[in-house]
Amino acid sequence: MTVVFERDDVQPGTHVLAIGIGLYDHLIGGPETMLDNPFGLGQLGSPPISAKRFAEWMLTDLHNPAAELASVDVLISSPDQVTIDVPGEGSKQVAPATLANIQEAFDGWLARVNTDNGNVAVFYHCGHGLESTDLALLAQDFGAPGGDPPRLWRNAYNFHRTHLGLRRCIADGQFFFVDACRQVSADLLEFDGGDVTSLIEPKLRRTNTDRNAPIFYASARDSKAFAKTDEVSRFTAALLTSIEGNGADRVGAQWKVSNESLPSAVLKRIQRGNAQPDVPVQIPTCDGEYSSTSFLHVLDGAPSVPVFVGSAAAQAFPQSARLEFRRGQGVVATSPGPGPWELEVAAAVYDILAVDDADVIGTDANGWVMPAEYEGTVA
Amino acid sequence: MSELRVEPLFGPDESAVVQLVDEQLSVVQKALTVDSGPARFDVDEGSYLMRALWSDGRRTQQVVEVASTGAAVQLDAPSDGPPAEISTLDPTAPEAIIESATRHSDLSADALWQPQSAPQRAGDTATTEAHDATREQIERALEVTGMVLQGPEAPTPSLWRRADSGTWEAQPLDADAETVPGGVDVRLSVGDALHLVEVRSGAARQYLALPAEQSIVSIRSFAAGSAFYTSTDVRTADDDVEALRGYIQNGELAVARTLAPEVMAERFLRSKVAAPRIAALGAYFLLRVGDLERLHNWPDNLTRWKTWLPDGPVIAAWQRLQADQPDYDEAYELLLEAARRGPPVYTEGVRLLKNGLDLFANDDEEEWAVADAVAEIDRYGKAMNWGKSETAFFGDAPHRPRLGARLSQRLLGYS
Repeated sequence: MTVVFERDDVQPGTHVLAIGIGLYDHLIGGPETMLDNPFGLGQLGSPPISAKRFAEWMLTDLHNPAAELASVDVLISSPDQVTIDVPGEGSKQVAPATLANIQEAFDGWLARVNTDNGNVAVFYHCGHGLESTDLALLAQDFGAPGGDPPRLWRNAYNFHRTHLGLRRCIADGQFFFVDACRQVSADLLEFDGGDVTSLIEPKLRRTNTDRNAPIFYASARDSKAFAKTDEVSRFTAALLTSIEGNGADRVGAQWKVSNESLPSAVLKRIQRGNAQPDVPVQIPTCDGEYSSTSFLHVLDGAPSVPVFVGSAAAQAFPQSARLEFRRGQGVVATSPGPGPWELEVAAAVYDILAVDDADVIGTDANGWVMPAEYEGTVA
Repeated sequence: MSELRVEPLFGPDESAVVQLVDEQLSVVQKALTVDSGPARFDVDEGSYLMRALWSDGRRTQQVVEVASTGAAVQLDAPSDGPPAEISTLDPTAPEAIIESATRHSDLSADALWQPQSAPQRAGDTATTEAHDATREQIERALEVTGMVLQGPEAPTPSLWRRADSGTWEAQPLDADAETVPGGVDVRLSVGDALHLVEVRSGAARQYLALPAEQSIVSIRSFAAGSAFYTSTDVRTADDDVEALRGYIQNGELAVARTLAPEVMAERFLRSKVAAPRIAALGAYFLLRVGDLERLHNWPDNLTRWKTWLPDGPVIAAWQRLQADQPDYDEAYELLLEAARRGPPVYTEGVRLLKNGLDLFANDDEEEWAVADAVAEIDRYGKAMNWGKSETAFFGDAPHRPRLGARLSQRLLGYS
């Protein structure tokens, strides 16, 4: 295990376990003996980058006064050695995400989380997933020969049963982010998840019935998640952008990201992306348990909100037109052109105007720009 | 502080979540129904954005000025235009249901399906576009899920009913059906029993549980080469329930949490005679958000009154497991009773039944005889399309689920 950051003086605190797997020893293109049937799965470029990005964001940007960052454990499997930049401590190498390492890291993470019910548990996994009745997340050494008796699924873990098993975790706030395909293959007809290890066994008694345990999936069941090789995945990018921006609600005098405010922001960002040309359709979903509200992050100021404004004017606006967001006497943001306009602006109440030179040629009657996104019309 | 009073001007069939947004963009929301009377907000003098999220999915908003003496606003439901479409995340979601239906006594493939290759009339671009849209939707579904039915023939629907003995009986499919570009919408009304719609293309078969007493089955298909690719969706004919499901799917959980009890209360009360499946759907949501108090004794009533419905005992079991003082013995009996009744109507029910049995199978303190029930539910689990809200599985017959049955044997090259 690689605990890259730990503070003993934070209680309750936020405890992060981040796993990213791009190197699969026994799948197509891997360095070791290939599995007889690799399910068509090969090496991935994005997960190491995505997991590193996720972990480093948590290290540098997470802010939750009620549960400040207390520990970050990272496992990343990549052909190249991966380091995590820890503020004030420099770069730290991380261990590969073999199943043994995942289990050890999970046990340590759970022990830290289980010290206070005010702790916030954050679990992130990016890599290959296969799903039938349950979702199996594959470790770097999935498909390794041997074992007594030999078991194909020895080096994968059952995410659904792990989530169910974490009813035994006392932390009331538990956030799960699964950035993986969840495909069913005809090759998996006999796979039901029962043969796949759970990182914690579900138990009947002494469970936490007050937990908020949302699961954010990058893809719906039986579907794919996407990333460009060597870039942060679509889901992780949308997730982090939402956490630091439009996934927040105004609570008292602060903007806070919670299990209730975050889902629609992530879903909307990916849905908007699906509409872009040449972008494959990705279907993120949210699942899990929501008994009340748990906070993950508190913003320093107003969140940045995606804004989409169209025109309902009888005649198209001239090319020299622009959209202005005015607040008081000042222009806070502008976007050039005759529309439609897309931009991000800080949440606030604005006068939204279409302007040509100094002339106002259109007005949006709404102007209350707030998360998760704003759609307006200038007429 | 001043009082903003929002008075409902709409009828008893409608309800809304009223969100009041202040200039700092804090949101306070309350449910509003005729029965509950005016919604009252204690606010400071100033401007507010009042948003209404209607139970049928429409959204309206207006800016309200509140004086130091307070303000009153009458809120009426939007009167024109179709309900705002709650965008689901399913790329195969069918187009708008055509309400004007024709009674079909013959639901054979020849009667319902126009071959995709049929010549279009000159200038009939709308139809062509609709066909293309259907094809595109299914191709997307194929690309991202691969879970559509693939067979050598145009699909035909049929109906199955589970008898008290536990056997499945074929039923005549006497339904209102509307042929639409690329497919057909079938309106089905069913009574007290588990019902499955079978959609068949050659040897390939898919089964879908009917989620309501009045359901709409949307079947879309296109031919490519020698194969027909078919996507089937089932939904309730209840706009309020569909809107609630849309809010949940879109992650608007706070809205759904506020709206669900209002939408479901009436249906729970009606459920004794009319809408047990929909009552179960609402109960699943309340269970998920931990609102056990709102469930009252409805799950027990569902279990007792609707002895054919597996979802009632599933929910009642989890109500006990989630309680501060869990009653394991009763939960165990209820889960076994659910398994005896067949596959739950909703996918959430299958998941909860599976999870519940899993917990008993792993109990450290007592042996529980759940192996047979686990095996039975796993048979369905392996063949299910878990992405559907309603239980949907591929198989050779209602009691023989099999994932490979989504592909016809001919397409797989077995014969």
